[in-house]
Amino acid sequence: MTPILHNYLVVGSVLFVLGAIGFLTRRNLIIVVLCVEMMLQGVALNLVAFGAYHRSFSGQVFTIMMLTVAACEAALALALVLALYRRQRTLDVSVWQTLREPEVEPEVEETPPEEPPPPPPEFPRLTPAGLEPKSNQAEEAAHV
Amino acid sequence: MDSQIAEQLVGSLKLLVPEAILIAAACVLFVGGTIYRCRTTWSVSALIALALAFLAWWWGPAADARPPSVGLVAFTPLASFVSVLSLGAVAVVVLSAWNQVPESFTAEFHACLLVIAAGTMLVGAANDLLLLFLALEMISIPTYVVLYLPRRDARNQEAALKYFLLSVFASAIFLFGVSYLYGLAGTTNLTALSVALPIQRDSGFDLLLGLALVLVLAGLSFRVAAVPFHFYAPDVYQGTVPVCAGLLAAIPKVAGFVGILVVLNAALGLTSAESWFPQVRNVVTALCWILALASMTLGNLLALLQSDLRRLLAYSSIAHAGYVLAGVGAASASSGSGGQEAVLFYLFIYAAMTLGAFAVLGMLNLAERPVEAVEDLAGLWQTRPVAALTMAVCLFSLTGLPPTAGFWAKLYIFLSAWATESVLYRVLAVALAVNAAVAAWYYVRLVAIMYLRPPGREVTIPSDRPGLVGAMICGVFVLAAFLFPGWLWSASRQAVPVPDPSVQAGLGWERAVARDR
Amino acid sequence: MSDLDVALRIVPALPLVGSILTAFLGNRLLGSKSHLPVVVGLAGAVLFSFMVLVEAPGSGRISTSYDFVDLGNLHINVVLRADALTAMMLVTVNLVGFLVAVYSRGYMAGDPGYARYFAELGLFVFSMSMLVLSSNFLLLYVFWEAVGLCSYLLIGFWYERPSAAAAARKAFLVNRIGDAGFLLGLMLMWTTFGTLDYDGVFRQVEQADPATLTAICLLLFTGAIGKSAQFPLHVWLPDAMEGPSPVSALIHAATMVTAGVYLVARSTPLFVASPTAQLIVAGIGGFTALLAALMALTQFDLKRVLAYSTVSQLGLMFLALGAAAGQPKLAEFAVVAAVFHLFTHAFFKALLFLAAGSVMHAMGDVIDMRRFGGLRRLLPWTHALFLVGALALAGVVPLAGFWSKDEILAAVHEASHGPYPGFFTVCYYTAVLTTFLTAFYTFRAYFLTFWGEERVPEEAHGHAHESGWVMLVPMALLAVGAALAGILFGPTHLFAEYLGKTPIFATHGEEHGLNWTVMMTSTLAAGVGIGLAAWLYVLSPSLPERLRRSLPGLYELSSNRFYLDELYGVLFVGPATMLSNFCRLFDQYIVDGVVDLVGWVPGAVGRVFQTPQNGLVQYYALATTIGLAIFLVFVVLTLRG
Repeated sequence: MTPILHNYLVVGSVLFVLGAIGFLTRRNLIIVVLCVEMMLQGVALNLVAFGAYHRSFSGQVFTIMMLTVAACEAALALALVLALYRRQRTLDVSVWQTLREPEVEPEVEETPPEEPPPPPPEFPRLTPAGLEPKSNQAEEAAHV
Repeated sequence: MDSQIAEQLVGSLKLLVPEAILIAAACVLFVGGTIYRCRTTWSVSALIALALAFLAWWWGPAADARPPSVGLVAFTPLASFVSVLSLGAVAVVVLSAWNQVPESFTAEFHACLLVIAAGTMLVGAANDLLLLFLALEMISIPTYVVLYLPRRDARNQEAALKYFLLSVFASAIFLFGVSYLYGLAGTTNLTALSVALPIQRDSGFDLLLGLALVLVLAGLSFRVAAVPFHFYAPDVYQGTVPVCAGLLAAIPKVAGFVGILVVLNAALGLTSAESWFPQVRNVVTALCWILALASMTLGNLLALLQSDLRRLLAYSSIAHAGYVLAGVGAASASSGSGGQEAVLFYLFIYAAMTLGAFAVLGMLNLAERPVEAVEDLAGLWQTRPVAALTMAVCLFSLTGLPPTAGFWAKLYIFLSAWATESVLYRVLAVALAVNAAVAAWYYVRLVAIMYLRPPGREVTIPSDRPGLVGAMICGVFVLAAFLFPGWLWSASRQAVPVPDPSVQAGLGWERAVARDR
Repeated sequence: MSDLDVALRIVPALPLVGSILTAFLGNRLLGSKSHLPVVVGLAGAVLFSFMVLVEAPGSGRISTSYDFVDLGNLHINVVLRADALTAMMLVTVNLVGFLVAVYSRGYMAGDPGYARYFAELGLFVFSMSMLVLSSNFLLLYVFWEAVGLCSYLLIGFWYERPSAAAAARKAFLVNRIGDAGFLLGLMLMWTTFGTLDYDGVFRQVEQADPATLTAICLLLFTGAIGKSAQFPLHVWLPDAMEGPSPVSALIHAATMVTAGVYLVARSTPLFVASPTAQLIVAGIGGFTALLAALMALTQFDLKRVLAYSTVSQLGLMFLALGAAAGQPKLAEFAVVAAVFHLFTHAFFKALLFLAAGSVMHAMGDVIDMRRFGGLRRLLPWTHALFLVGALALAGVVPLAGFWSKDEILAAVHEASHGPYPGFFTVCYYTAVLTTFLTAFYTFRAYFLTFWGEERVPEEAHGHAHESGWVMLVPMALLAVGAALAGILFGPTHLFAEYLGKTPIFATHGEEHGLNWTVMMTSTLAAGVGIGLAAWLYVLSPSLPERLRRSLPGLYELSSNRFYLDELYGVLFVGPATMLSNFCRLFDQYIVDGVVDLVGWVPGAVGRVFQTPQNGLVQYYALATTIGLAIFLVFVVLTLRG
């Protein structure tokens, strides 16, 4: 295994694991789906790196096919997310917990926090990820 | 491109006619469904498409006369076996979905079913990891749609969401494993893989190959709902309509197990007497042992606690995944154990009995009288005797009692686990017998409720003839396969993939690998 | 295909066809004539099974029917086999089945499940015929399960009664325990001998490892314990009396419960080679015989008395089956004694159950012996027929039970001169004691039911009446069997000679004459038992007087029958009753407790594993990932090199 291949594989694995961690920890539906895409990018990097190493095209072909499939899945995911948002008015994945063993207590509070949806814009909103930058708040308020 | 390859390509295309018919019909249904809405028309056309595909398979070259292929697709007896299984199973699903789907979605629903059928057929025919992946996705992606279409309530949406997220996650794990398999062998072609890997047996690849196989196995274990990849099953089955639950219990399981067999055969040569990577093979054997024991035990224990019918059947399907995994493990433990044919036989019977049970639930499940709790089956014997009888046959078969084919299926798995001559697997065989006895408790309880309790609320149930026909096909099949197991047994024995040295030699892969290094 | 081949196929086919016809045409077309296909089918089956009886032993025919399973190393044909033992069982099953079906035509008339009843009855006779006709253990096992299923369906026939549903489930589950052992035995047999064919297995007995052989025998015997309701799996049979009385007569007295005896008799070559297994068979059989007889003493439910008596008699048969331990020459005599008792028992016990059913019919389904009495004028025919059955069961000369029970005693007596004298001497006296108890409880039931002051429960609505001829004629035919089957075939050695032609007996033992000591002992035991019962239950008016004088404090206890029973318990069989109560407690708290525990543990464990299933998709993914991580670590640790 040449050092250069090794590097690619490490980056691929890191991408994959980061994606997996995001999948497990994020509560926003769209970000969860995007995290899976990130895992797939790790796989794609692996495939291309191995393809280059073996000097065969299979890796690249596989990557292209995989991206196509991922695109299909993304389309479906967005359709699904839209439908789910329409019902619950939130993108929080943890509100979807009514199907479970009847004896088990709910892990997260059953009723989603009463948060009247902002009436005019009927679009799903990304819940802010990570720390919210503080300095811009005043500016944003001015814009709205 | 030399002429030989071109010839082979044309030959392959001829053999792909059944899949092509299905896809073409699916396109017609997708487009036609937007113009014309009629339940009967589209259901019948879906059935006709399946029948045409079957005839195309029937009139195609006989399985043993087909040219050995080294390309993306290999038309082995395994492909034929899976084709028949998939066409039959999807036909039953079409029948039981007839009256279960809103009229406006019938065409889309059945079109998705046809794509699923084509995908399953391709899983059996796949001779390349790429095609295997695409075929599995051809099953998964329409399944998301199918799960979402029949009902629009919160529970159904939750089921679709859970299946979607976990399925995509599992696909990613599968692909990561596949990327390493490719990296180790330098090819994604399965025939080539089975030549390339043994050549490098001393390259110190053991660890990487082991990791890659575990990841691939994990990704596929999600499809078969084996512990600890099973969590979605009870929730999704409960949330969706019975027809979709039946589909989920049967088709992905078949595809997943066929995929596992195909990959293991290519990577470890399950049928060859000497193992290329004995240590890796031992690890896979041990893993299958753990997965099988955990799945069957956990599935049965949790099924004992259920009061919701579909959750109960979901846990039972997890337990059945455990039984089949015992067969896979037996095949991996010893090449002469007959584990692979037992697995294929079990899958065929399992698809019939589980689809039959869900078909009965589907035909009883009405908006005004949902059949959800176990008690909702009370007195079925008096209100719907034929349905009750079919259900009882399927349940007895799931239990593994004669005179149903489930008995043979369990027996073959048991015998193959026993024939490995490994102490661990004999313990597993005994655990299987104990588990079957535990499982008898909740299956027989269902039968007792159907037959021994007075019926509850009186609701005139409109008869769902296609659904009943679908269920009865399964019931009769299960009984007939008990009386005449011979043909199915020899079919599954022939379907076991056997490496063909001439094909492998014709590949010239030794040269390629030698050049590579 | 010879005549015999045809007959072998027809015997099971006729009941099956009848059953299918009834099942599909019953409710809609045939209505109250639903019994016709099954009764006609069974009549034909009886004729053809007599034909088999005549032709079978000469030919020793094995008749291949259908290539069922070809598994490479496991090859199973549906092979029907005709030898003397099979022919015997076939005649018993079909004859009793036919008579019970005729009886049921009267007994079940007007029941809403009339057609279902006959369909299940036909299915049962078919399965039982196939069970005895099979020529390999696997096929035997298949029909072993099938008769279990029929039994389950028929016990739960009146499923709207919760007690019947519970009894059906109990029977099914307890039998599963035995069946699991049986199945493991088959597996072990298959791995040891590589075949499950009777002949194939028996041919290789010589080469087998004795320990393995013992294990196989004991596992097979586990199956027999379950099906034949031997200790500790006997708990299901008394509850099974919730089914209709003809079912109790056919399945739970005459045929299905004897399948265990048949299995052990059929496997004689295996058992002969394993004295340990035989000792265990004899021990469990003897113990069960005594235990069940003690339990029968305190029952007030007429059918339960008979049920415990069935368990006890089956125990005697197993005692005989095990009597050849260490004496292969005795095997033929002992097995013949057991099968002979099986044969006669089928007649008189079926008769007793049918008579009990007739009593029940007249009493408006009341079966508690404290609530009726003195029925001998009200039901003269039933009384007479019951008396014949009771005398046969008690073992009074010259009725059937005397001759067959006597052979068992003789075999055990003979065994006590063999290599295990102490053990079999104990067994012998246990059997004699059982004989005494049998006579006592049988006649206790008889006197309580038919003697004393005439009392009829109000459920009979004042028109308690004798049953019609449809019910009486089958009973009368069975009574003829119960009276004559012994003396015709026993002392004349006809039965022994016929059964001796079965190829399972490798070494033919010497002729056994009549053993007068044993005969006198058993007659004495039976006589004392009957006399004691008569003294206590017929001459009771004088007994309280005497007892009052000697034991004044106990007068109130003896003032009615119920207290008298307690008194007799304290005075005469005090220790025995205590033992019997202890056994019942053992049943209730230990055996049932273990069963409950076995049911509780999976639930508790399952509840632990339920917790991760909390509905949150990311928890699922997390659990999956943790599982995957464990697997990966496992792989790394194993393959690191």
